[in-house]
Amino acid sequence: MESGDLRLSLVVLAPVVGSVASYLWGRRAPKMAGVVASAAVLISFICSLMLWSGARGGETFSAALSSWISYGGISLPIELYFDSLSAVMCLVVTGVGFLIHVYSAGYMAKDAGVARFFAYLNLFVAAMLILVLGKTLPVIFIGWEGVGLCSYLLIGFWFTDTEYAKAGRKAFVMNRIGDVGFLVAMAVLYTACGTLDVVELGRADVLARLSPALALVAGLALFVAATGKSAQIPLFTWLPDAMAGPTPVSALIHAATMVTAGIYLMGRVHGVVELDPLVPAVIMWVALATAAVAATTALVQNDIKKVLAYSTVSQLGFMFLAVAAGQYAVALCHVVTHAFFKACLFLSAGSVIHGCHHEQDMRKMGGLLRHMPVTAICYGASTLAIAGVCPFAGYYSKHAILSAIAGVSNPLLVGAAPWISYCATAIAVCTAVYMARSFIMTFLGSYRGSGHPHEAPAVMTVPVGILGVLSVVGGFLLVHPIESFVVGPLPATSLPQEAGGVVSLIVGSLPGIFGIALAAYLGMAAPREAEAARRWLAPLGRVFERKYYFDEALNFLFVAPIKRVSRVVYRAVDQSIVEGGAGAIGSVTQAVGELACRITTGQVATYVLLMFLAAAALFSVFSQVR
Amino acid sequence: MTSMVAYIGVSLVLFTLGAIGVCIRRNAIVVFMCIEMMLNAVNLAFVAFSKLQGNLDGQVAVFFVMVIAAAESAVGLAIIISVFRSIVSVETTDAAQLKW
Amino acid sequence: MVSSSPPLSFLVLLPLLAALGCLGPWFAKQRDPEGRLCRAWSLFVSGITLALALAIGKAGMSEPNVLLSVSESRAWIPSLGIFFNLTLDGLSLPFVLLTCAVSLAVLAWSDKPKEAGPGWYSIILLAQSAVTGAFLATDLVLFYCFYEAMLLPVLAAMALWGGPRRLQAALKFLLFTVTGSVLMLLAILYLGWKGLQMLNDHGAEVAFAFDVTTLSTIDMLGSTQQLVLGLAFLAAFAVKTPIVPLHGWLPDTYREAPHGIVAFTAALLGKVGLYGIIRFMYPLFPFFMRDAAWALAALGAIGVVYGAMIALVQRDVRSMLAYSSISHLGFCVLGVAAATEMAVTGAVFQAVSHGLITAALFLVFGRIIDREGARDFDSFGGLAASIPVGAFFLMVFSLAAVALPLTSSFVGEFLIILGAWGEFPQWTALALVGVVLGAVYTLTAYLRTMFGPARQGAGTHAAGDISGPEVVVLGALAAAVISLGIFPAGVLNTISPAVEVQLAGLTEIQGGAARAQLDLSKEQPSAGQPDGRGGAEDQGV
Repeated sequence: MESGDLRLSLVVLAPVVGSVASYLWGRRAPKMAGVVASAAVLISFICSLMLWSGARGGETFSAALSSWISYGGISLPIELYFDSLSAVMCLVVTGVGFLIHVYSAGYMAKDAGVARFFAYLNLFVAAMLILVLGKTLPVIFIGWEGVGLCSYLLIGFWFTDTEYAKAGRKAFVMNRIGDVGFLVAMAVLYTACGTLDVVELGRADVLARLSPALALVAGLALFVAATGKSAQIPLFTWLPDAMAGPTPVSALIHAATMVTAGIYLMGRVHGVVELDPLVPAVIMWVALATAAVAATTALVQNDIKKVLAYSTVSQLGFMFLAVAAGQYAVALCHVVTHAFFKACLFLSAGSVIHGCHHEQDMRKMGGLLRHMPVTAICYGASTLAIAGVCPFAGYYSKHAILSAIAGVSNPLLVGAAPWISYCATAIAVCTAVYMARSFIMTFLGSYRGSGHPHEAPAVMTVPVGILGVLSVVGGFLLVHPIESFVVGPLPATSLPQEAGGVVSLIVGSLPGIFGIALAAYLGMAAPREAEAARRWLAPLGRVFERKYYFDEALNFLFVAPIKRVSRVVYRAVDQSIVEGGAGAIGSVTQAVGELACRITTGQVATYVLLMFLAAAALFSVFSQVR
Repeated sequence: MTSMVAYIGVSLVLFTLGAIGVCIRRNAIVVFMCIEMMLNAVNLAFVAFSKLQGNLDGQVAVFFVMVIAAAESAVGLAIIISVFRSIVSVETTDAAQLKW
Repeated sequence: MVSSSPPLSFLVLLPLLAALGCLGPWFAKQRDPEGRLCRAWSLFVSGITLALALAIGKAGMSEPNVLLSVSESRAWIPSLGIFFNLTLDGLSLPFVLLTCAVSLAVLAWSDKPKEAGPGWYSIILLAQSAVTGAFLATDLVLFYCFYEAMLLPVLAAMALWGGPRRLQAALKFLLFTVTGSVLMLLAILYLGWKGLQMLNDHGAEVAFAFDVTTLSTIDMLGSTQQLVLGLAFLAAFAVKTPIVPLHGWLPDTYREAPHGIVAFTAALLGKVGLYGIIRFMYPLFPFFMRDAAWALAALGAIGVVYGAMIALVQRDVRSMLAYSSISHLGFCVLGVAAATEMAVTGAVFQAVSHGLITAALFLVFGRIIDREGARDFDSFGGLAASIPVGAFFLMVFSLAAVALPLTSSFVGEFLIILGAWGEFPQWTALALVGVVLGAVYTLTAYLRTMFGPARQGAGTHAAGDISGPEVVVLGALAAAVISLGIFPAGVLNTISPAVEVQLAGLTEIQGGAARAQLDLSKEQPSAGQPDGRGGAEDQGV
């Protein structure tokens, strides 16, 4: 601790200490692991709240933890920085994170590795906090890699199953590809601008040192970094696979931490992202494609967690649409509301899985409304929220995103803006359809599974309930109006003006309402038409089910060729040329030796002759020298 | 001075003859005698130079050479005899086992 | 120069004498068959050298930024101008400390070949002595002696106690390294002779001149001579480091030598090559280094990717580690070639960090190989449950190997990337591909070793989980790796000024070139460029 605000240091250090403490204590008394870990996150949350009241007024805080890479002419300390942007992220991470911790205490109570679980979980929160509080890009990178590591550990938490462990490895490697983008961006920015401080990188005179070509490289590299962490095409396939981890982990990864890091990064260094208009344009198209691919894939999933996973990818696409439109505050709003309803959805799904004796297939559920009413109500409220129905939380952010797209000012995108808008609206309808479908399959109708489903204990339902309430009111209370949501670190939000009143609220909710109605019609009122539609769309459905063959394509294009080339290089270059080179040295030496052997004939006369010749040669040489 | 040239000339001729003999003769005993001839050529040169310089260093060296030559012939003849015992020949070409 | 410090030769001679001391009990095998006495004795001596190196370093460091340089000079063969010149400065100190630490770790690690007996300890001590000497020597002939002496203990251990193909591997190792170093010897002799001529011309009455500081100050070599001599030096160092494609000896050596020796070799021998480039080649052949930089950088970056790709398809544990070493050292080579203060400092830091990490990895994997009685990944799996402590440490060092932030290797790699990007963006970008591949093979290795269902019949062999002194060894190494990752500033402050001194010759000639360029650009003012730097980087990308 060198200087700065103690509370700010505590925000990060509490979960770090909590991680160690919960492991050590939890090994003796497994019940204490959850308590210690939750308390640590609660401390973080309280400290963030205390700082937030200051940050709202435009105040900033900083604290240095270590001098780190500071020597000679370079100064990169581990320094934390708290402004209104990091405040929002901090509160989401610690607030939602705390609820997930409490829930996990119930969910993981019977697992043998509970101490290890909470240690990882706390470390995850700590890494995410470093990510959002880092004052320089390398410090952000600490958290960036840290969440990658923790997701690897948590996804592969049940490591005796090789498939789970492989899913963890996939997450780490895909994130690592994004990290290379981050490293390239840092190298470019440091070499050109001479600083990696995020505040400095917002200043126009610093950014002016970047040549146009480098600005493009830096912007794209940062977006590559964001695609890895925030699961955009082509690096999104790890996120659905990340379902291998325990369900609270999915909630933590999908809602509060990790995947929102890319959005946060874009907002943090928006100055660099916006330098070249091509960068937002690329982001826009990638985000649109991701949202569409993920939403359609979610339509045909039967695993309840997979539906939610693809919906996360799709919603992240929505956030990036706002980023591409230059409305970072809008994207951040969606991060916040999404954190509420997605955490609620995942935790409810966790309760369902817990209640149905670890069954994840929705075809074996149904009618759970009667058995677990609290969970069902919360899931329902979150479904309405994610569908964007007024006045639920998702409405405010999603509607703002659609308006932001319509009002895009990027010269490369203005022409296409209406079309992007239509597509986004269609995807919003799609969202409502698959979420309503999952609600209907899980909670309505009659129970199709075996055994008796039961409601979760209070330690699990209370956090779910709180998140459910937040999914209802969080939008109106916390992020509305968006224009004044985060000011200062982000560029001002300017959305097209629209007529106020009830009419606009209803019109804004229409995509959601329409989607839900469609799903309800197909799922409950008209099973025959649904069956017809399914048969009619069967070929398309297969494409959806295999997530557009992205895994296969990546495997075919990258993984398999790299392996094949590596094997060929190993055999052709290393085994033959390099090893052969080594052999060549040996055989040349041997050949020379064999040649020299010819001299030793065994004939005395030869030796004597050689001796005379050598003596004569030596004499002549020395007579020359003298 | 002319006598010096003559002495050295004779020494040179003797030495060369000895060297050629060592190289081309096959009988070990003849080779041996050729070596003795080379030694004596050197001795002649030593004595001649000793006379020219006016000191006895060269003549002292001659004694050393003679002593070593005597010792060498004793050892050398013994070797030749033991070689003859094992291969029944004193031809140097026959004693060619010592090679790679 | 600090007068009160104990002489540096202690660092070299103590382990040497102690090694001879170990031989006594070796002959009296009946009284100490297990070599316990030798172990205690060698641990004691190695610990003392570590403490001594720290003390000398500490004494020489008055302030963080003050250049530290402790030297010692004794006549060795004065008639030939060969002196026993040792120098401990910011460049050699990290390497010397690494040598002492790794030797101590290998000595303390209780696994050793069954038939080795007490001789094991004297071999390690001999190796420690020679490597320390190589890191300290500034006289070229003395350096060469240590450089060759390093081979002998390693070769002996490999030939005596190695795997089934040990003789072939030892022969290959010898051929490769000696071929390189003989060329270096010729170059050293030429340098000495040339130095003699130059100094005598200036009126100094000396025999030959072999001290690198003297030689580098008299500026005697034209660029053609620098090219030839530089290539000869590079041949030796490139084989030792190794720089692709001269790495042929390495996989075989790492496969066949006993675990402890491999840990020692992997951690230290290659570092002498890197150290040699910085210590000798930059001051002696600045023109050559400037002209060859791009080639070195390219080879380094290719090495990163090449090593990583081949590590990816290895089934033998130690082959995988061997190729991963090639990959990591490629990064160091890239940093050294970039020749900016930051990149070279990063390369030195990365070299030290890699030494600690790779030694630990070889030791842990060595234990696993002994425990399972097999050496390829196909026979492992599901070990995390049966050796939890080993799994923990393997995880820590695997993560350190993939350069996760807050471990030491991230600091090194990051500085190399930042420092090299301005010089060789294309090669740095290529090397970054290796970062991804590195994560793949490291995590795959971990996955195939530790994760998955526990196997029936696994763990039936004698050696169990990591415990006792091994925990201390790994704990200390892990603590070093992590504390260097969080608080690297002190070490970086020590390295950086020394690196600047080494690069001074190069900076001088580059400064001249840059001035010339600046004059040119003044004549043709280019619009749209706020300063000269931006323009240069444009061409870079």
